[in-house]
Amino acid sequence: MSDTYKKPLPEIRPWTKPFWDGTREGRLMLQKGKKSGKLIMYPKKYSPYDMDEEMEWIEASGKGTIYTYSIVENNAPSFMAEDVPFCVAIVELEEGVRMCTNIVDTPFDRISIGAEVAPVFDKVTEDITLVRFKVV
Amino acid sequence: MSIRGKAAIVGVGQVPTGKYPERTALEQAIDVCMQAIKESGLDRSEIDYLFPTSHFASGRFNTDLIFSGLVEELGLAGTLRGNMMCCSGGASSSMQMKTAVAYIASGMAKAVLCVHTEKTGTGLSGPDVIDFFSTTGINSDWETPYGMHFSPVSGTIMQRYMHETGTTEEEMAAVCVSNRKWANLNPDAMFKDKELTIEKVLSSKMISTPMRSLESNMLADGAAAYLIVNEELAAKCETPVWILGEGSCVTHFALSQEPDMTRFSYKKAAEEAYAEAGLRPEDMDLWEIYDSYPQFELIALEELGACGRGEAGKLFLSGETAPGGKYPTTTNGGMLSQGHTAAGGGHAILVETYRQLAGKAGERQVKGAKYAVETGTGGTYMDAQVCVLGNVK
Repeated sequence: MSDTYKKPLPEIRPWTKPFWDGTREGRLMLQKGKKSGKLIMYPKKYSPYDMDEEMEWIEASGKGTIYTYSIVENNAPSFMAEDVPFCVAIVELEEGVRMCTNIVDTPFDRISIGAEVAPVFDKVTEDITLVRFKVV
Repeated sequence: MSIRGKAAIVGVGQVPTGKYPERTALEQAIDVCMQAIKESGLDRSEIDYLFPTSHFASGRFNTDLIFSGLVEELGLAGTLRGNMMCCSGGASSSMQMKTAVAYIASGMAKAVLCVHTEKTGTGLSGPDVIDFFSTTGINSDWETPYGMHFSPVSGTIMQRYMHETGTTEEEMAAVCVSNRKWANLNPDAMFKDKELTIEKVLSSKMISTPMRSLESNMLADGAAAYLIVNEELAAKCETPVWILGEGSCVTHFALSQEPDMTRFSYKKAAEEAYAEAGLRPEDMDLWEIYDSYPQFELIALEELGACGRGEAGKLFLSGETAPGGKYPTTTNGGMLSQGHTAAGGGHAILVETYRQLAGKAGERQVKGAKYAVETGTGGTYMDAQVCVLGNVK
């Protein structure tokens, strides 16, 4: 953790707060529609599946696989310059939803589509803990 | 209601794409609009509506465009009924055209002038351009914090597409080479004088795996315009190109939420467009695909029905998409070789579609071309905008 974290941060919104509260505690929380039973990632104010349904929060297992990835080697935006090379990935959670993230703590040659991953909770500020993943 | 044959493009304008520091956004816009009006042969007082699209290099000039900033320069004050900015990133050209056609088909308008002008080649510094486009169209809460930006947008899609289809890096590079061969015949193209080979592409710098620098587009200055009119006015024009069918689908904002990033929704949009046109993929003479990165030409060709899944790479490698081939694709050189002007890649491909179907494409003219399928998409390929056009109804 650092007080000088200068990279773009997500805005915490009333309907996404439970997600960020969860990551601070090392838990990956997902929204679930109470009627549709469907999982929603990223969190929404209203369910995309049923405008009238209430939503609850469940804890994901944290298990997932790499759906796709790319290792940025050049021409990164200035706010990511010091991280180059870094891996941006889309991870598919065991529960079936996908999220954008980074693959960290993993040699690049172990990163591949389908590789199994586990979450790494990265507390970047007092309020925000980003969820990155590592290959297991 | 079908829009089939209700409206036609009757004139286009375009300035060469590239780095032109002395050419202002305003001057480019005036020039391409005047070219389009002159080519149509119509009196400019016939124009009811002007649809400029968004301009990124200068916020001030973008605001001018919203507030009728071109109307006095174009001599439209007093006769114009509306000036409306119509924008959806790279899909802007498609949306301007579709909106114009809807205005015309409803009887609200008889002639609509659509214009794009941009200075992303010389109007912003290199690092500023990278930073600006790094957040444009990217979800600020769920993707930007992880460093997702336009290069890994392309890299992640390319990676997954190659994984699912077995497309090779040579086949991917062949798309860039095909585009360049067309650009070499296009006086308006940024890279008209530079030849490209698969070896050059594959030895270029890695940007965001598996995408290399020569598989990435180059930002440029440019402008384009087109005039769309109703059947009555089109009858007075020499070379009307008819809008025969359209299909559309928006699938995501955040790339991670795209259900299938190796297909997007081109198939659904194309089926709608072909059905409205009463035509089939086999009827198409031209495949005017919005590119920006090579995998999108592969995905679109497959989903639009030119070939089967995973076969597009072989089509490019065989030369069949290049000049003289059976599947002329992105015949202006695309954003990869004609140049990337922010929202303007779609305008350039539509201008090209008009020129090919009007028989005005010069050295790169596809002889006897009658029907074309044309695409646009914005943001992180958030939508599929497909249109079928023809020089006969």
